[in-house]
Amino acid sequence: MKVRVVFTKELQLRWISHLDLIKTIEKALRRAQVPLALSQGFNPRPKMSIAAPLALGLSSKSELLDFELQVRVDLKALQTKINEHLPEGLEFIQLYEVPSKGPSLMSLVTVSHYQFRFFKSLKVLELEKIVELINQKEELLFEVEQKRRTRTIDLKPGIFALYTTDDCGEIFLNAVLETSSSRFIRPNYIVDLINEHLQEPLELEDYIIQREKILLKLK
Amino acid sequence: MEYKILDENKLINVNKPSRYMGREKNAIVKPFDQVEVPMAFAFPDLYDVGMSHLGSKILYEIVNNLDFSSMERVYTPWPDFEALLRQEGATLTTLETQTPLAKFPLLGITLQYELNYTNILTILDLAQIPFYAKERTQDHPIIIGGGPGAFNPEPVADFFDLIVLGDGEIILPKLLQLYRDLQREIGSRPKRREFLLKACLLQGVYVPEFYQPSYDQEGILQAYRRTEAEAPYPVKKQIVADLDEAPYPETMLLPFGEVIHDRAMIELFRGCTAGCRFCQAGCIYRPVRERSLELLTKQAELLIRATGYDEVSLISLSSMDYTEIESLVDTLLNRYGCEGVGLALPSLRVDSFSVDLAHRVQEVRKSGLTLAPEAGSQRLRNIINKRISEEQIIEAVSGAFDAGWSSLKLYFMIGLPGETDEDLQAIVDMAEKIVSIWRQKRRKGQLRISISVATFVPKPHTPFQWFGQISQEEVERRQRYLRSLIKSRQISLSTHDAKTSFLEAVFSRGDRRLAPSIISAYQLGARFDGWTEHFRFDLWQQSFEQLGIDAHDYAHREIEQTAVLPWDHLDSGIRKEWLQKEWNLAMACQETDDCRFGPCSLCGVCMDYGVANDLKGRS
Repeated sequence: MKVRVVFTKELQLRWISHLDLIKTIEKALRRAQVPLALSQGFNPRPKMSIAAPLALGLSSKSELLDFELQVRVDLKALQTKINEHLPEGLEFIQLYEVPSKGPSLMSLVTVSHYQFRFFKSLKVLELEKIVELINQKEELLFEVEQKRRTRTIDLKPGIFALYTTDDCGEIFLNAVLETSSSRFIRPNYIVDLINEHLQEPLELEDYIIQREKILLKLK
Repeated sequence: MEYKILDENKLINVNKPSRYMGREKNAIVKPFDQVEVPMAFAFPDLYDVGMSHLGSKILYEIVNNLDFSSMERVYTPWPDFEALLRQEGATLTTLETQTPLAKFPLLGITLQYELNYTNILTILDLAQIPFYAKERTQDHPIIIGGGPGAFNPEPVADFFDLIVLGDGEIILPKLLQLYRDLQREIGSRPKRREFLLKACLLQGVYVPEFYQPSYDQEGILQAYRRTEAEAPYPVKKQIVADLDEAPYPETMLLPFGEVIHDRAMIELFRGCTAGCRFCQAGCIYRPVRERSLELLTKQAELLIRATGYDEVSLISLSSMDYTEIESLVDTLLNRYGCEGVGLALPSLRVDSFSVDLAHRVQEVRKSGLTLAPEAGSQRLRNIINKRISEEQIIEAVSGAFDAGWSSLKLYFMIGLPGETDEDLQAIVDMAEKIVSIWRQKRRKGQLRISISVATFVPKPHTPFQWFGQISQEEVERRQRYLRSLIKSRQISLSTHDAKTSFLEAVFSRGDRRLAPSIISAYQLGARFDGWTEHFRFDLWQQSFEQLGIDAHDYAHREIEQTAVLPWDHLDSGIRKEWLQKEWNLAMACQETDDCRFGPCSLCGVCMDYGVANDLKGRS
């Protein structure tokens, strides 16, 4: 039985890496005595995959995970049991069955919606103006480091939306970015784009990025 | 005093922030202000190392189970985090409640390794606590040392208020109770001196300031003079007589990230009487005390369920010597093998029994095989009392090849007493012989033999404590010589850095006059000296030079057997006469039996402490 999970990675859990997240979930599933299906070979591992890696420092409202079970179980009861064993900040909020022979979770990922929260007081007008400037550009050439080489890519086709929202006077930046295997736009690229327009650039510690949602292809 | 706490968002600037954030699974968080006697516990190395250490996890649970106390952890910040704390002017806090270390009434620091000494200073410095005990005030924590390094803590003794010798699970709760009682009596933090005077009466407690060394004009240690009449001489260690009665962890702190030894651990027994003459652990932890099979299987069950680990490590100084090792392995494999839970057997003995058992364990998981003959020739193995014959080694290796292993790691030491170039030749001969056995067997695949050669470091409380380490030049010559002897391409050699081993020897046999050199090396920038990428020998040289300390003398001098030693006032349970007798037997190339299986060799611990080897499987 193949199960898809929507889960959160919040609070202090944002300080753990993608690999450590996998280990943490694996151990929690073992503690909950979930009958995981294991891979074959000398070093059997649970059959588990995560939709799109989340960089260290980011939090998330809805991550996606698939795992396989040796037997069929009641998912409601399973959810309750697993949540008892997950550390604070990690919670399985929804579980549903998917076809065992279906496509891999990673191949289904299309875009992610991120929300940026700033600790440094940014002027609302200033941020809105910068976002407008970025949105007006036809092309957003950006230097990225890949495999120890610098490469220039155009971010524009990977940015599906970029806009600000206001919640009780606090300003948030929102970005819907392509996160497929062919084009993966990291949300911190957006901060770099904004920094090009700021006199005092944002430092790593001046903001938090939260993933709000991952969208999957329907078929 | 006001302390600045680091803003959590700044953690984005350091590597692996989870090292500093706490809140791991099974962490125990008690509100600092609501605990009568909160204690901080520092492991003076990187988080990844500290979280792999069983002893600290045992103490963590024991202390947190006391209703009036708590234990909160701290590890040495990696240089990136140290720089961040300094840049922000923030103080070092515990992981559990982010309380500044300086606010705790008690701070424990474990002494695991000589090359951690500067890491102790990093912790104190970042916590804004003065290094020397005599410079600290009533408002600073009382600093408690413990662990194997407690048996020669002299180079760092002046940094500690008290040091506990022996099994911590008994002595630590007693100390905390004493502190609580005094605190209740007077309604505030007890006066440090009053506490120390009462504490030193407990078996296993050493208060360094109550024992003052004197030296003659040539700088030779003459005696330790007691400054308080009540202070015992010598200081006896504390021993858990029955390990089944001792508290043990039912859960286990679980790191988020992967640490060095990331697995559940059960301790089969404490102590070892195999009698290897270079081995300090084999002397200071005597006698052998086994846990019963029944209790161990129960502990394994509890830990697997509480942690979700897929591997259980069977810990002890020589796990193959556990009387019911086969039943234990079979029970655990039968019970958990189907869940994909494997077993790890560290410290394999060099014989076919061990290899067979390791093979059975490998059914779940496959890894390389490590054996430790320690010396190449029979003569040298007799000197160090590593009681294995060439036949046993060959049998073990043959068995390993038959079982399908093609990758072997062999541990040896150089610089042992009585070693000649012929003994080095014997190491390579043994490896070449193993290659020819492989050829005879005509097995498929590529054979890999990795010889790992450490440099002997003389350790206090061992029969070899008087013997000087060979010079760095000689270490390097012997390493080159070994390398030149290797002919087969299947054999690879790795050696330890001579300078690191030298510094280990200096502090291993050091005395209180070394304390300033640790501080000055620290101030020059020495950090994480046990880590190759951080080790800066030049800083140590500079430090010794500035202070006029002859470090070579500490490491290389052959000490006379009649000399007063900087650890004579600390009793490991082993009598000095026995160590001398063992030294003489070594020089005569004679072996001494393991008293578990042969006659008592009169080391003294059972007689003087009213304990005995406790072999649960035999009774």
